Amino acid sequence: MAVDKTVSLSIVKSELDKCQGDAEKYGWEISPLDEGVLSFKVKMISPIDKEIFVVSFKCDNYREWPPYIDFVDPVSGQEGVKNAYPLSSDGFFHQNILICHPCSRKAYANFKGPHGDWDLPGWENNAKTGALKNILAILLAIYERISQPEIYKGRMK
Amino acid sequence: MNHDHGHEHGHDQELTIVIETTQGNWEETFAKTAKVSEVIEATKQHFGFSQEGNYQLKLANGETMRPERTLVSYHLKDGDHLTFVDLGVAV
Repeated sequence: MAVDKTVSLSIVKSELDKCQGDAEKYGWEISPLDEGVLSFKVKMISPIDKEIFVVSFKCDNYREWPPYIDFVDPVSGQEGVKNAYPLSSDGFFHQNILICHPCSRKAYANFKGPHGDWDLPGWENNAKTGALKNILAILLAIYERISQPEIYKGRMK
Repeated sequence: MNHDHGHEHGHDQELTIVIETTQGNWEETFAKTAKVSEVIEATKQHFGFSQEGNYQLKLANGETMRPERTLVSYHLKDGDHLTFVDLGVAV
């Protein structure tokens, strides 16, 4: 069932408010929320090699569905290209150009992702979702992954 | 008297810390010799996080705590804050 846009908007605003402390702490730049399409971007810098990563969120039908998360090339502005993604020691940042996790709408087969075994509604209750049940938790996971030398392997090529 | 002494001795062996998560903060007392992995497990249970996350605890200075080490080995004090994060499992 589709979530009324005003409901999603209210939730996203509330969750973005909760990101402000960590945004200041870690130097994230959060763009203004485009209320028309419920999208925003977050720029963050790897403390390891100073590479810039721009994460794009689209939150229509949130929280019935998880956000549609992608990366934007900070130079070309192209979204959803391999060079926009970080590389990690595991498959979280997947070579299919997506975050392979239940918190990422792009990972579901409905959105051409590899996971036909997951359901969009109830994504928060998927055991593999762990604690990544809100925007702040997702941003922290991404940031930690570009901040820890054992995990971060530079920009995806 | 002995009881009080024993209580104080017991308190000396414990540490009350605040664990910050994206679901809220949790103040709890642990044995100083508790391992970081045990604190992570307790936090998962307290907040109902699933077993399949990729969980870490971080010190206030950003250092990631090693799961096999004890709380006391990090020289924590009562009231210190730790940050609980889930890096997400790769699936």
